[in-house]
Amino acid sequence: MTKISAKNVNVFYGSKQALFDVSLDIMDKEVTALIGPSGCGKSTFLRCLNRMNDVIDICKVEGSIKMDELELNSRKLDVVRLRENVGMVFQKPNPFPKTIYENVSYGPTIHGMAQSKSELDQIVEMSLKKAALWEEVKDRLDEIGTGLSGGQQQRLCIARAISVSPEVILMDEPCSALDPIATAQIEELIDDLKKEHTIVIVTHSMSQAARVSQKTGFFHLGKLIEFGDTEKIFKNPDNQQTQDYITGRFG
Amino acid sequence: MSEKSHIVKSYEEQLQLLKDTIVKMGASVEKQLEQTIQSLVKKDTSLADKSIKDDEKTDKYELHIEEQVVNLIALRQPMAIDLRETVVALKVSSDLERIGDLAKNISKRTLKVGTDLPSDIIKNLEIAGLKAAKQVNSVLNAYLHRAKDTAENVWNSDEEIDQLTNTNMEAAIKHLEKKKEDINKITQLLFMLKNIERIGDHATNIAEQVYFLITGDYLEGERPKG
Repeated sequence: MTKISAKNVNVFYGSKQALFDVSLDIMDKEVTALIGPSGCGKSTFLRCLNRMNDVIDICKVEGSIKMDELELNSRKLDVVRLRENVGMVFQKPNPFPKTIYENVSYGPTIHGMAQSKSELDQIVEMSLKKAALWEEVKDRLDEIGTGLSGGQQQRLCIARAISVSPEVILMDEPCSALDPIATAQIEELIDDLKKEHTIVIVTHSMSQAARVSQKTGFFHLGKLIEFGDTEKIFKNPDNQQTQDYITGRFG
Repeated sequence: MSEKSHIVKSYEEQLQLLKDTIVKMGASVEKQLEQTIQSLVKKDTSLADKSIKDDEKTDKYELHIEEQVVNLIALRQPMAIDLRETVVALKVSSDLERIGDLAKNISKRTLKVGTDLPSDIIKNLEIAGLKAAKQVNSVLNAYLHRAKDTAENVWNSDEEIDQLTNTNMEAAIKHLEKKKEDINKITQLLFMLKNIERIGDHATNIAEQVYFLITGDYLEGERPKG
């Protein structure tokens, strides 16, 4: 089932066009990986999915991006509600300079999702468990989040993202600042999270895209060159440019 | 095949070395086969000896290819065409090794039975042997030149060897009915014929691999059988 359907998306930064006629369907409860060289537009596309481009004044997005029946590119869209439903995890772990507990409870609190302290406690515990961090932090929830290791901080950010039960989670290079063990833990987590969430991940690691995703899209110079089953893309892509990129023959 | 080179030159060189080693192994196997057949035709047992001895070289090539493949997978994590190149090299080398073994086995039997087999039987062996050698040569060319059509031709023409094997076996048994004292020779001969047929099968396996290497798809359908 399609969760997000992008049709003829064009993005401009001032007079510079960053995306050209991108159309692709993101399937529900699957992991979709976006790959391509730096500046190819993959992160720009990702940011269209939760209207992060709104914060850039000169950025203009054309075309249609529908999540279920909701047009994400509509002026009338409630962007705060959208971001409650489409969470995001960034390249560099960016926990709030607050306690571990507060990092996770912040979203549910401002969205009024908990009626009582015990309900909030439950949400925090469940989110940390889902983010595979609970066992490591349950005895020090009142410690500052930024004091954790890089991998733990990233899992804390994932816990924060899932605390408001978003249907979609966007990940922009979530492992690029992490060591191989922390990376493996995040990848295991992604596998787990896709049971309940739709995940779109931008990664520079081809092997990571191959490991975690079911669908892969290859972007180059603002165009979506090829999109399809991950297995097919990495075993026998249709497009020569895709093959050159994934085999390291680019440039 | 992608015309572009890898950004990392040493990776490009390693893949090229792998291809070169397959081609060299193929040449070694072809030479063994040639010696095996000629030893029968020319009634020259020294050629059979050479074929047996040369099998050691073929085996070494296989080991060398296996090491290269394991290294490529461990250190380069090849993708797409490079992955097919790597995996196919492993499988092709294993088929080539078997062909070398079968040639060696025919030569060993030649040494056992001597070269004084009836001339019509030798002729049958020669025809089947040359046909198998031609298949091996074609499929190695298909690998070297990335020729999908040649690989398909090899795949489709294996049935000729199968039919030839059946005919030759019947002829050998008829001969035995007339000359029961040739039982030892004919028993060896039946194995030799079967070995030639197996060589054809391995050439067919390689054809399937070459087709997969080039297209990323599998040759589909039932292979024609004699």
